[in-house]
Amino acid sequence: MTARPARRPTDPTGPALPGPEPFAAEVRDVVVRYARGDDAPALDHATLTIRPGVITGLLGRNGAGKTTLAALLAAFRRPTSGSVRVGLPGELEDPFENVWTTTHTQLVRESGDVWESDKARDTLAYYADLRPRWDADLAARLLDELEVDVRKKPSEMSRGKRSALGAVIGLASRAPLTIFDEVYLGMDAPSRYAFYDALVADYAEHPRTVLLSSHLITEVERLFEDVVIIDRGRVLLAENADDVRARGVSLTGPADVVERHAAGREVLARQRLGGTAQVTLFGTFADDERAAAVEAGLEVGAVPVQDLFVHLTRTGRPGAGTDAEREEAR
Amino acid sequence: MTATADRAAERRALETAAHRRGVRAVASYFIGGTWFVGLWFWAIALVVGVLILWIMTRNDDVSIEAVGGVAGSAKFFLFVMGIILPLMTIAVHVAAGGTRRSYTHGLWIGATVSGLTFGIAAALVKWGEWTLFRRVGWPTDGDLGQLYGDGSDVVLVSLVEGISCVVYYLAGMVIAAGFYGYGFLRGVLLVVASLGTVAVTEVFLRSGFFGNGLARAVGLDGTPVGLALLGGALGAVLAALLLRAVLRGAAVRPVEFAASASA
Repeated sequence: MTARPARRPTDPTGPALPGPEPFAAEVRDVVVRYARGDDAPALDHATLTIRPGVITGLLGRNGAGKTTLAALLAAFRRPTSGSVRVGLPGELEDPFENVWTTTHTQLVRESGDVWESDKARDTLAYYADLRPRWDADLAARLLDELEVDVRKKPSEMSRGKRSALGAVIGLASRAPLTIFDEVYLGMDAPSRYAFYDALVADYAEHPRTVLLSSHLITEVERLFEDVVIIDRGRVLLAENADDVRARGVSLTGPADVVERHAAGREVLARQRLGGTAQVTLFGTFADDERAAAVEAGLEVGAVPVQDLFVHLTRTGRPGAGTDAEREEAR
Repeated sequence: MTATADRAAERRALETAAHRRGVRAVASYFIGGTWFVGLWFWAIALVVGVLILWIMTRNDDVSIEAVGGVAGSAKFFLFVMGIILPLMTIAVHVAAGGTRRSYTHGLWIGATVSGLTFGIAAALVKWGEWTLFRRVGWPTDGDLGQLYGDGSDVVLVSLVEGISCVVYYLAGMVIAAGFYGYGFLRGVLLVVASLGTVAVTEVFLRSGFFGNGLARAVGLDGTPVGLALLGGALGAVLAALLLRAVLRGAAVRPVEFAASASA
């Protein structure tokens, strides 16, 4: 059915209002069960911290609990137990039915929360009405760049265009905490890269906290400053992206030399082209090992986040860097 | 005033403004959406009513319920709208930064304004029909018992029909929110609860097919008009409170659920 409200179009409505600093978020010992007695909770005693003003990659396999975590932060639901707190650093508060935090948090879900049977411009007008920092100029520019026709209904759009509409909403909202949950689905490569570029440019100009959930890790890992990996509802790892990359090494060079230096280590990935090989190893290299490898003519690099992600989620091995474990160690 | 107090005041002002924006957005969507579809309802209702009247005149058995009865079905139209519209809007509202509280307040205003204006529309239709019947010399007494005598009492008809429309609209919303937020079993219980609020209004307003009979059964058929209207409004207040209770902790489900409801 169509229920078209009388709304103003998404014309520029003046400059966006200044708002608070980027938000932080904290999740402590959170359990979410969708059914009573569910022995496989969506989140299972998850604990992590989202730093303010950084882009955090939220990684996990299908059903790992990423969407549930995003829904908690955006107050779409309450946890079964544990605490979720969002807000300015040092002033975190429960986001559920909290006008201050919900006004400043934008979650863009996989399919976008839009009115299927109304024109896209009606949905955008609704967001513009509610979002105090909505940037209509940015929205118009991105819609043009991503070729989204706002006169169409989302139900008439391709999957990619619907995702692009969600991406526009997420960026134009300028929320201090912006969460993109698999927002790229169906978008073609040029649109995805246009979105990434727009995200980075707008993030640089208007700092905020961005949580980006994606399966296309190799595409987006360059954006990440922090990384959270979730598996079966548990936080396997939550730390700085560079620290994540330092959890392993990649060795490239003559195959026999590479294999000699990789011997006895856990290999995450192995590629070979003619006499040249590249292996990705789990675990850090000591300085003398690194020096020896370089001296032997090998190129020593950081481990791609994707390789580490595949390894951790396949083995279910928790990283030593989760907040819970760090606290236990203390 | 200290900087902390300034900040707290600034935050309160922002929260108040955000809440108002949310309420206004929901209310205007529901009023606009209800009347956008409602125009079609009224157009079809009038055509059907005139058609029934034409058939009645051909059979020499004319009743004022021909058009008036169809106009009185506006509450059932709003009941259905109450089930459909919240499923389409709650996820967008929360995603846009609104709270369930502002959503609920917006629903209250939307249901009240839509219901009362539908009540006025129904009263005008009934008055028009009554005027026509009187001029032509057809009987103006209705077959169904009502709190009001006939269509000439436009104010009372507007109030009775308006209050009925409001409570039916809110009851539909309770049912939608119940199934959306709490699943099948508790959703069914909320259907019963919401129909309870409808029954309260129907009994006090002694309206239509079963309201009059129920009122007689419970001994409320002699309630003075003023008290009866207050009793009818009580049903609407109960439905509004039930809606608030249902929405207050509702989880916003995956978007596919809402999308399927609107398809």
